[in-house]
Amino acid sequence: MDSPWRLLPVAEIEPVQPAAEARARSWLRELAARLRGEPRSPVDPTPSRDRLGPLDEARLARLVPDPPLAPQRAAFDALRGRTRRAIVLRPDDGGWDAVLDGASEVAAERLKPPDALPPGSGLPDAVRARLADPTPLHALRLERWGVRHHDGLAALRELLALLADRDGPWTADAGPWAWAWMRHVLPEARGLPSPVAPAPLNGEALQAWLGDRDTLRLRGRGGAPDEATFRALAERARGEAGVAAAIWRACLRDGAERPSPDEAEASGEEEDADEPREPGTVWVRHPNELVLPVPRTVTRRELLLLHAVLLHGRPAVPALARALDREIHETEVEVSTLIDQRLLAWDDDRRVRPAPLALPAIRARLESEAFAGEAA
Amino acid sequence: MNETSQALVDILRDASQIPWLRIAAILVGAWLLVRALAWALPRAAEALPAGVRVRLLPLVPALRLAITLVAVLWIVPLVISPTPQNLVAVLGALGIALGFAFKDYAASLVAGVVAVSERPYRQGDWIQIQGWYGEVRTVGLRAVQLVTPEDDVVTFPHAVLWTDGVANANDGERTLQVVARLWLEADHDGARMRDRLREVAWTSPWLDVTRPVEVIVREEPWGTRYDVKAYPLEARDQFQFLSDLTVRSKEVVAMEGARYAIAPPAPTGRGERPPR
Repeated sequence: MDSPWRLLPVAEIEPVQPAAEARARSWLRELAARLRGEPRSPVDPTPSRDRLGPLDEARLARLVPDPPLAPQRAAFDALRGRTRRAIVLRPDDGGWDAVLDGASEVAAERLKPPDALPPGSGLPDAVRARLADPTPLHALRLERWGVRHHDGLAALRELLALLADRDGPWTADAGPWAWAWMRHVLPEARGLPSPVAPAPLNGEALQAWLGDRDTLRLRGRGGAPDEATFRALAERARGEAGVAAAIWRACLRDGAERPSPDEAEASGEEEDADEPREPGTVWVRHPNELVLPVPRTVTRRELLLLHAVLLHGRPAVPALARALDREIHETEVEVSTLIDQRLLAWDDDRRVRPAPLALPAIRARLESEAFAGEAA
Repeated sequence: MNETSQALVDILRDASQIPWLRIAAILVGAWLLVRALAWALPRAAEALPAGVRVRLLPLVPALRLAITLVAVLWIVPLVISPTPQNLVAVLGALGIALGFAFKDYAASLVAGVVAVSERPYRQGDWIQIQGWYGEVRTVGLRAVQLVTPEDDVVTFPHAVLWTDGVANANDGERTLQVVARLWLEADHDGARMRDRLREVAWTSPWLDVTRPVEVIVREEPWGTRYDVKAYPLEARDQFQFLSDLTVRSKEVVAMEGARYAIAPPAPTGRGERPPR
């Protein structure tokens, strides 16, 4: 059986979608909220009547581990073994960052984007020399080779042209939105191979990754989380590892207390008062019960900013301001507003990334507003 | 005279037989339905993808017309005795009255029906009529209302269709073409300038990347003219897009050391559409 952690040609990927009924329900809910004039998505993503608290970070780290590195690395190595040139679409949720950023055995194979390029300049000579060297090479984050600004395209266009003409084997990665932009706009990108992307994870794969914990007792309403629970998780996360992990983290609740009486009644579960309670019990809220942040009322300017964040793959605020031709201080304010709405988040290195919980909704909104995304 | 009066009495029902309350209920119901549709459809459209939105909005005037017709056809038999002779007489009299007293109004109503069926403009379209450019806010039974970029509301009777041309910039599509125009003195590298201006369009945050970007260059007596033609994400973004193209084109012109020619055409003001 194929490993669920594999890379597939984009044309062969079937997106994981919620059932039509769930999509219709979601649309009606959204429409009703719009007609009622509700201003923002709820502040609390996990409105809770269950008197259960969040888990501490240490337990969460044990329960929701990072995506397994070995099968991702095996998939990447297999790709490099069977093709001389390939572009990998790096998921927006960071699910494959570890393997793409640093899993190569040979650090010299990595061609990192420079920290800064003078406006209007082409590639540095050292990069040109490395590209001329026919040994294997992986060009990291193509989108960072030229901010989407009329001063920054020279280096990116030169890089793409040199990759297209290169003799030695190479791979490169780019965010899916950045790749869509390059493919539509830059003639140099049209000569490059069609990209591959991580296959979406189904419920079975998510259960194998997140659900099988012998040492901890996972329980949902009416019993342990089952295949249907993880199928629902896969649908809400659209099969993306990082989004699924974030949703699962929000689903896990501290089980030090019992569920509220009305919840126990609603589930029809008779609790035996004499049954010893394990202090380590972790309660799982069904993924469909989570209220995820939605960019319902963001302005046009904020939509452009969200698009720029996806396009540039974790940009810093100055790069974001430059790509949008805005002042840095006003961009900072707008970023803070979107962080307050839990649509964006800061990374440790003060770069901005989309909040994984909001990612499916952000993408859906941008695509509905005609921004060219992965499917364009 | 007596015969005419008697004929009129024969056509109309006896006042005591006319269900006034029912007629009032039909009128109020139709009015409420029209108002509810005009309120709800645009809001529902906002929750839908842009492609569906532009198809949903034009339904408002068509539904309004249909509701009005149904209400009228419902009320007429309640007021007159519905024999064929009576109907012919009423319609004939109505036609003569409209023809003489409300000639222009009737022409606009008829043109309104044509506007609904032929769709020279729809709600959400960007059109130019008699020098006024703006977004179609409503398509009523008698008139069409535009909102100009200066936020003026301009009303035109549909009868303008009989005498004037209507330029529709997006014709039901989500987006429309915007042209940023520059005139430069002739002594510069034209190929490089064309490439740099193309990059300006490519890197605009407002650009619809799925549509083509073209830079047209032509030599004029006063210098070289560049038309940067591209499409914004949505028609409503056209002015921000044009500003973005213009400002950043000026940056590129300055960086390349080119100089502006003195351009002869002057804008005419009032709701003028962007150059094409």
